Amino acid sequence: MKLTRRDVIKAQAATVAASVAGISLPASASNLITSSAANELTWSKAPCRFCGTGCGISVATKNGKVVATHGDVKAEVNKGLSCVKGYFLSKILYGKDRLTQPLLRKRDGVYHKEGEFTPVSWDEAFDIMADKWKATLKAKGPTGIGMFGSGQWTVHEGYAAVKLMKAGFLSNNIDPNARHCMASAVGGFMRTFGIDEPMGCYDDFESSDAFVLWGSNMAEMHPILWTRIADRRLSHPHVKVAVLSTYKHRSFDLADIPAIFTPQTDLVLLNAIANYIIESGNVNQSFIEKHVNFREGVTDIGYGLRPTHELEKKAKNANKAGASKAIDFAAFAEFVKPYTFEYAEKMSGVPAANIEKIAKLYADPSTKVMSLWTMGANQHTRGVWTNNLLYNIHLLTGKISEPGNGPFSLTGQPSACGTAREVGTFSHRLPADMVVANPEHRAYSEKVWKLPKGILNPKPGAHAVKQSRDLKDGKINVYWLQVNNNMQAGPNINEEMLPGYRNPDNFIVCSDPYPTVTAEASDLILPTAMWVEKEGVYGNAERRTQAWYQLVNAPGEARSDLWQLVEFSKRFTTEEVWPAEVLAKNPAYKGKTLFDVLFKNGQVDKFPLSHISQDYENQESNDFGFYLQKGLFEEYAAFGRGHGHDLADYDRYHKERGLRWPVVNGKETQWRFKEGSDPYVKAGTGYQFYGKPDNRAVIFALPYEPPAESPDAEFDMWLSTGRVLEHWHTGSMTQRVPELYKSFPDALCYMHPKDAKQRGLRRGDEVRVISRRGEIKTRVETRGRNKPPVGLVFVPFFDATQLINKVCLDATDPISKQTDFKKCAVKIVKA
Amino acid sequence: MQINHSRRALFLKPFTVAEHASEHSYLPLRPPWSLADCDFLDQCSRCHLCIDTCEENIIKVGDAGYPELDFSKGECSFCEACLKTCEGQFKQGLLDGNLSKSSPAIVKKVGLAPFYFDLKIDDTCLSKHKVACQSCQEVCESESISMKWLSSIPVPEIASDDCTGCGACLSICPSNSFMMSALASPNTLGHS
Repeated sequence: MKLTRRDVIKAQAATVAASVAGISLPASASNLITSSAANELTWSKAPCRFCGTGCGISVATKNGKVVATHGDVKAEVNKGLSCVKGYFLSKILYGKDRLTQPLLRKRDGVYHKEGEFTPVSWDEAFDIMADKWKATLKAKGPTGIGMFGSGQWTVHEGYAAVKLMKAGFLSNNIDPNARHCMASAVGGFMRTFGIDEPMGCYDDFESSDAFVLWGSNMAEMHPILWTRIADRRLSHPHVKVAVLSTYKHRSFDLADIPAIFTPQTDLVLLNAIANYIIESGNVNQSFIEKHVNFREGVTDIGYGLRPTHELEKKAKNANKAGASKAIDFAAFAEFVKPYTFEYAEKMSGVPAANIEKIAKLYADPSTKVMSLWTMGANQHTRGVWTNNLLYNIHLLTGKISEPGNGPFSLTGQPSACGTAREVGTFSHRLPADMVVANPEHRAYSEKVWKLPKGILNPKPGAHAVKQSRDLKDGKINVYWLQVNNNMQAGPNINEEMLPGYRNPDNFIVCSDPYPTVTAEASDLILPTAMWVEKEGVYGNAERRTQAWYQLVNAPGEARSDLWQLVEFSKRFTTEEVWPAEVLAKNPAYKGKTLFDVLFKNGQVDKFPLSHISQDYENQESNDFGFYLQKGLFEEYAAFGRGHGHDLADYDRYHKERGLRWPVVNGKETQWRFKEGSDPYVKAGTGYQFYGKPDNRAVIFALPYEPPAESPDAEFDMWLSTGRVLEHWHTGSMTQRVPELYKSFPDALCYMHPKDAKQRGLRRGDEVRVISRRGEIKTRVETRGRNKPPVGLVFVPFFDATQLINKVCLDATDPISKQTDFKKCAVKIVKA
Repeated sequence: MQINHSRRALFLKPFTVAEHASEHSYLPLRPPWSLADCDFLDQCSRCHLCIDTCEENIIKVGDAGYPELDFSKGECSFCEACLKTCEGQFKQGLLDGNLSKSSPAIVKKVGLAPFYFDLKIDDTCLSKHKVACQSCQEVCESESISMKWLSSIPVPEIASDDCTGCGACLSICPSNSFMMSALASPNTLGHS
């Protein structure tokens, strides 16, 4: 043995240094030390818990704990890379204040709205929940209950929740937090294409000649996709990157064409580009003749505020915001004619020369363009319009559905696509793009779900913002939140949200791994298993469905949202929740629990425990006695197979690094709607936008309309909120990771130095950010990653100690009902 | 480089030479505008008023009770509170007839920088391990940290000429990859 004393000291020093620093050594380094059996790590795969990119992560477990994570080199999405959040991913499981048992507000041993949180058993928790649910259903019917879910639910969880709410309680008052995030994107897809989600995929990054960002800070919010753009840009000098935003951010580091525009004028810029394409003779005539219809949308559609609001009373078409009429190409050309570069410059503040540079990228037939957008376009009182206008410029030029050419709607959450959208957890939706208002869709769902005919509720339920209003108004009395922190992430907290949660008539249940702001505002907190503490499936922004196994057990009595939903269903009989006349006509359903009719229906319970991989735990399945996840997935997949949403067999997803639907004959689809790459497109057609009955996509004539609230003499600044790289959404997980907390501990008010000087403020000074609705205290930052123009401030929303959403306006897009978190008027004064 | 290995300095930390500082003689990080360490140790009375007055809370009781900087939780804002307190305490000593010290331990002189130091980014930097992270660039007030796009994930680089030594990068780096070591200061007694 040649190990000298010096070597021993050196090895110890390295380990000590790493543990003192609080970081695990890079995998390559740590593998050197793990030669003995005691140190052996078990590696598995899982998609990342955070954003919609859907990076593959290699997860190492040891002695029942996740001990290391790194980018999965076999994952096509990230090829071994990760962002700083992904690097510290395992630590989100081990925050010190992890919840391990249900907590109920109690006084003198019984539930009390103003009581103290007291540990209770799951039985007691479900008992009081069931009491409250039954009482409410009896008094108010299905509209009296509500559920707010998530684009971070697994596919199984979202599907079980939809079944429980829509098929069990016959209530459509279920909505995901994706309403705050992707609803406008969904609205855009449905209006233009009649089918949801991007036609292209991430492979486009390696073929594009130009990337145009419309309201997306990919460098921070989709950092791994940004590395693919950076790779393309740095290795191909002809490639151009244009970045449009209302303030300068990190993505501008790579911008060849930067453009800072006045909030809301993206509508003008997009129409100006459409006008330029037409006037410069670059319309792809044969494409629009064969594959496109033209329509003009109604205007003056309001701002999704309460009907009593002055702006709503003034709006002519608030009740038919989504309506439109057919026009022809000539009428469309006439419609966009006033949108000249000069007019666009005047409205947006972007120099005409820069608008022209961007327009030319689209107009030039030999330049392959990828447009990318996220919350800047979606969190917009005209978000659906913005999405429609983005598709317009790709459809006019025929630059769509081919490698490197296409509009790409980026997703914020890990399963906003896979769960919220595909499963249909929105208040108006059913799985696979179907809607509750359509009798055929309801009939089809009843058949798949083996329900009595005609039982599903045809009336769309309350969407996210309306749920908050209904709670405040006492219309919804019991409310269950899972995988979201709406009391921090929803708009206008003090006026429209907190009063509903603390309304003495209401009973609020919050499932979460940690005591969030929302949990603290609730009456019952259910401790939740997270990420690899359960088996799950996520679907990312490029239609990639990814599965993972349960790798560790959740701490204490924490249980997955899936277990909570299915277990809760046992507490209701059909007699308690279904109309008597339905049961009279269908006596076979009498005397059964919702668990029996929804989950023990011969389909969900079809696969025995022996189908579960022997190498992994599965808490829910072992508890219920059948392979729950497989059964749910296969029943759910029946909705999409043969209808353009085909999923592969469940077991295959455990073997693959994800597959992009539609998966037909075992093969995934990269580019939809185009002959040759999409199996649904018939030979000889070229393109088929088969979401529409005549296979044609729609170009919409839509104008500029002003935002709901603009700066004035008193509230003289624009406020935009958003995320930062280091933190995920409301920070409930990442703020508990010491390294991530350290790297960005507190929210800041990013401000132009001139605005600061004018108010006598220095960097680091404490300020009050005040709107008509509320205020917060924060500190001024005049440098750093975000550099707003004069007249705009940016405040991130991850910080639970600075609830910026108290300041935000609860205006929504009237079509998509998505909140506009990017625009309201504030004033900044020294604290 | 002028280093006075006084007996006192020599015996303070004989066996704790940090590995990263091996190229330089080890010196503790003292408050801004501190005298060169040999003089500092002579003049500092260990009253700890600089520690109490620091608004950023980055001055800690270090070895043998002398103040040292700890950038792990904050940065220097150059507010001069420690400097003023030290001067004030010295003057009070004169008034009280206590002549054991000939100068404050913290003295701002024309032409001298608040800190003399060597700043390095070591190999634990996440960007060097294909992890997208630019936290340090964002907090650098003097903009002396820039991100170099050598590949798809940019790597930070320090332009030492502009760096003020404020320590902001040390305070936020999630992987603790910044190493700052003090160099001998020309701020000695008898120089002006």
